[in-house]
Amino acid sequence: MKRPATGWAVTLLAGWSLTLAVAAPASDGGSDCIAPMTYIPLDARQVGAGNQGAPALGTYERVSPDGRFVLRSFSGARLGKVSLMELPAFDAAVVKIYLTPFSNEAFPVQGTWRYLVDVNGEHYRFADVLARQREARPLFRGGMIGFYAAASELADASPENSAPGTFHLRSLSWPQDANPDNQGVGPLQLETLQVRDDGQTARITDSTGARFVCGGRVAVDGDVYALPMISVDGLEFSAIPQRPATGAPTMRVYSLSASAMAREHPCELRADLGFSPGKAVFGFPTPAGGGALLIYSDVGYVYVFDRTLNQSFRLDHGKYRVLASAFPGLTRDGRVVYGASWRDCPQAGNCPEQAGYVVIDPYQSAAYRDHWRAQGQPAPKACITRREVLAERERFARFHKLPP
Amino acid sequence: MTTRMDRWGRQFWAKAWLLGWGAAVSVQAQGMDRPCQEAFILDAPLSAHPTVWMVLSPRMPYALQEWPRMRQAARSIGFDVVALRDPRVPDLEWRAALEVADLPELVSAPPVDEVQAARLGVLNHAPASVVTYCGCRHPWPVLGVMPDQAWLTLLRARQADLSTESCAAS
Repeated sequence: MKRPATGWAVTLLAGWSLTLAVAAPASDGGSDCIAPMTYIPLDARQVGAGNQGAPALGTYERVSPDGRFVLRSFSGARLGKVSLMELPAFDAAVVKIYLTPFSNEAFPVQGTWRYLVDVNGEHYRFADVLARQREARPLFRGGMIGFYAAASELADASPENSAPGTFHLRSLSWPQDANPDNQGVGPLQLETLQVRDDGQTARITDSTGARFVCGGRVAVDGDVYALPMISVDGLEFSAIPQRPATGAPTMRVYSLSASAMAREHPCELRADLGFSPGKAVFGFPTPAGGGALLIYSDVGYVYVFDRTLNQSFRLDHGKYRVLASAFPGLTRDGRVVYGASWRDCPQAGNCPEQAGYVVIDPYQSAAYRDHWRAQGQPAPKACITRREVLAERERFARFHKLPP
Repeated sequence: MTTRMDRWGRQFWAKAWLLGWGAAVSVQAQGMDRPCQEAFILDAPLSAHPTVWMVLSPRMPYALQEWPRMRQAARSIGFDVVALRDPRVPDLEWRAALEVADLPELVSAPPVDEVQAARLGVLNHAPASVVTYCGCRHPWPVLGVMPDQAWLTLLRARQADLSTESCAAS
């Protein structure tokens, strides 16, 4: 693994960038570009103050595909355990805050955010939570629960063979099987649900049940994995084997079956970051293949790992004493969004600590541009444009029947 | 009531332990060839008893919530358990979180040395738990919370790794 680039920001995916360059000519970097960095401070009068007077940031942020919403746990006394923050498209002020009926570490079904999932496995329609907030009601209950549970909606590879309104939700977590005879069968458990949703009601029509996975890797990677996270498309997961047979515990990516209701999974090693950072969260699949980006934080900084280049790139800070959350996210169009605390100037007496969200365009970072300059090539993409952001927000709003 | 000397002593040993870790960085990078380092930068010999040092932070949702269970499980197989605090968490925040979690026994948990802890990757997730045994420490922190069986499996494995060299030599 190449050492992380410690310039001003991030470099991304040669393959993806090149593909985008072919599909859509690179912007000239003019006025249509979004800001390279936007710090969106929370207002303590809205979200409540933490114990030092700074706005309550919460933790375990999950970012919607369009970057418009952040689902956050530990939201503080004023907003309850879990809240939804609505972020602006370009400005630097939170638009709206929504309460939810959830318990801490509730999570979205990645990919679509069709459902939000409480820690007991109850699935709520996302749009219903926005509309009814704490009064929202669950549609059905199922899938994996437990430590670090996460879920994704599988893309339907053959929609012509699927009944309308039928979806597959795949979730991953720690083993919940108390049967000692089954211990040692595999280090993690996975379940795929088939759900029929008519737009009003939804129900589970089939399930694989909770299945141990990756038992075949025990001889190589041991029987305990830490910090598991399923990919946006549900076809991979990241985790750190805690007792590998050789080498050291490092963040790795493994494959899952593309067959929706598969009972067995290949668990082939797809990537090895070569070190042990915080939880590695997946970006969206890249059109050119080559593996989705991974994003993670490491001692307060956020990094993007480009699997095509096999290299991590650090996103530098635009404020003082920035401490990034452990759960950054990537939007479908490539923006990086994470929770953080910071100060606007170095003197604590003059600048109180702020907390909120940071939005970064990695294409406008010095590291990305330095990378291509070092290659002797123009950067395939100059920036993420306002048009691209608006398109993603429109797509997400249309999917969920929300006002844009 | 915890005295100032108690607190100073805890902080001293926490820092001594982490400074000792500095020498273990290369061990981690090289894998498990030599899981034990006997040289400590400060003359702070570790107990021969199996011990797990858990770096905790209220900014990781499960860390404080699962601390009593994981501590009890570790004790059940003969481990001493020592709580340490993420140094980036202000004292007021730490105390407020402990009050909410009803864990007054952690108020005096000393903060670890930030520079050393960062180099060793124990600040990326909480809890990050390091096993020491027979005067040596294991180079691989156990990251995060986990069910009892996985937790105990790892503690026993870390202890076994250390016992093959350090205990045999002592």
